[in-house]
Amino acid sequence: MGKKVIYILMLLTGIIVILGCQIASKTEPTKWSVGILAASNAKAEKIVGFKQGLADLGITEGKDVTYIILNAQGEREQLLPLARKLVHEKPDVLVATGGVEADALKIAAENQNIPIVFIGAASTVQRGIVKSFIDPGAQITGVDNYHAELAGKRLELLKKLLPYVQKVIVIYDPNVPPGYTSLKIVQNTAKDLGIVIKTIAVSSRTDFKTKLNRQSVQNYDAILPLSSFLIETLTQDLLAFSWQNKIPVMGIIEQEADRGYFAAYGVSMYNQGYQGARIVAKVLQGQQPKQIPVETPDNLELVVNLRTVERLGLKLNETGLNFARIIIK
Amino acid sequence: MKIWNRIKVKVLAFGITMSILPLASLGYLNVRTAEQDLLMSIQQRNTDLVKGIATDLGQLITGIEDKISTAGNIYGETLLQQDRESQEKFLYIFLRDIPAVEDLSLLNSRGIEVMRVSKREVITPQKLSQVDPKLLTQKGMVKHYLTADQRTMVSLIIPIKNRLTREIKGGFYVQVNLRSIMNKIITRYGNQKGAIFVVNRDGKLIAHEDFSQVLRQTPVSSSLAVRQFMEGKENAGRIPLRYVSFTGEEVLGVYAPIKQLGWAAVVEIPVREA
Repeated sequence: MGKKVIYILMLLTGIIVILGCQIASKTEPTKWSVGILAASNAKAEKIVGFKQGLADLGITEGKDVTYIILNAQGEREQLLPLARKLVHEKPDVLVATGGVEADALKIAAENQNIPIVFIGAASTVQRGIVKSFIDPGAQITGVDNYHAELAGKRLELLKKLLPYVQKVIVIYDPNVPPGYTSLKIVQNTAKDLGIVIKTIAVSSRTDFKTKLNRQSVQNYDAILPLSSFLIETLTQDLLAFSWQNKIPVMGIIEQEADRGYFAAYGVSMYNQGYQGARIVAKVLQGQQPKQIPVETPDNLELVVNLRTVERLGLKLNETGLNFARIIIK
Repeated sequence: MKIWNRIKVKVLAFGITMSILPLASLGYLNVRTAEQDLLMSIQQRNTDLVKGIATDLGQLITGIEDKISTAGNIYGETLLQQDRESQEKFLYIFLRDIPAVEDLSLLNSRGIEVMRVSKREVITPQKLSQVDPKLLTQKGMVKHYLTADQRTMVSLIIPIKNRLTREIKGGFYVQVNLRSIMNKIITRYGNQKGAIFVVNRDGKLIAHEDFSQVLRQTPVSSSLAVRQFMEGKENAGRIPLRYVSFTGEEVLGVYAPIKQLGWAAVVEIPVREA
């Protein structure tokens, strides 16, 4: 009788211990998963900034969050299939590293109720990603990198750096909202600054190769490419053209100046990702994207590449140079 | 025998009751005391947190003022007499070196912009304007506002005075991106639970870690901590300030004044999360 009682007590104790462990394991913090879509390797720096931003907010990879990163390697037609693949993984939040990625994710995630955050996209209202900055409208919000709106400022800074510039070639993609939105702004600014512009509309790489040649840029002082996915993929071609014809190009992001444009003005890839991380953290912690206003960039930087300046034989004005935050030597 | 059994049962029942009851009472009192102590320690932590935020925010803004003011004291009068290009070069250095500054103007004694530089706007001579010259008699923050792209900004005036006579010769008019400053502060402190926000003396929301609240101009003056600030009452932090917040949730709240700006930083942590 006594032994039976002891065995029963031991069994009860064992059950309590096992149940207790299970309860304890269930109370561990939930791990989040974040799906990231990138159109090309050019977005790598955004992802670095994004991960660091989350880490600085206490959300560390491996411990609190797992990343699923899919890269279309520059092939635009792969974006939608990859977006669908990401959605299928059912992450807690989907991250678009640019405008074309946001477009693809918005289609793929329709009716899925997975929040989407873009970490740097241009003309997000004009291209229909969000309804407005203050009221994004749907399950999507993020950081608008203001590339289109800053196009006029880039033209002004080009003039500040190179006061002799009177005539500028403007390359743009007429098929995308950032392209034609920026163009309007640049046209108005050129009028205010007394700069003559010649626009070259480019819809493909072939178009670019055909339309941009020595004759087309003869007597022009500089090139101003406007923001679009296509123009972004043509950076290397434009750079080669710039060096060959000794004509400076005013870029949009630090990476372009780093690669060889004589200067660039805008928010760096890293800072776009870093700023976007704060919005993703809010979503992970339960806020709905439609309650989170779209942000414009906090950190704008003028970057000058002195190697390219020397290579092209340019003479920079000190006024513009005084504003340059980073000077690549 | 029956009597003995009844007595035994009663004694047993009494014994069990008198051992459980005091234990239960003591246990309850301990739990209540522990809860109070926990709330006090959380509130003390909140108080330290909110003081840190208020200090940082005040210092960041006055740091910008001091930087420009020092240069203004040394070069300001000379700068006003120099050519436009020299003025522009000078202003661009501040625009570059102070990330939170978005826009900077050099004003003459009548409040007319003689030069202006901006990170976002294209500036031409035709765009130069005038501010109320009376502002030049002040120093520091003169207003806060929202831009079209939803950035919360603060305007600072830094007068330029003659070093001997102290006569006002002009000034700097500085537009500071408050949202970028708040984002830095929140990144530093924001791993805490609850909400951090900033109000002015009228109880109006100036900044919030959930920026949409600022855009919606959410009324926050129903929060006791905010009302205490508006009434100028000292928040000792010794007794947990437990109340129902403007969100409708029961919170532990505390504020700290930002003396340089006449604002207050407020921290509210929901009791259920504390």
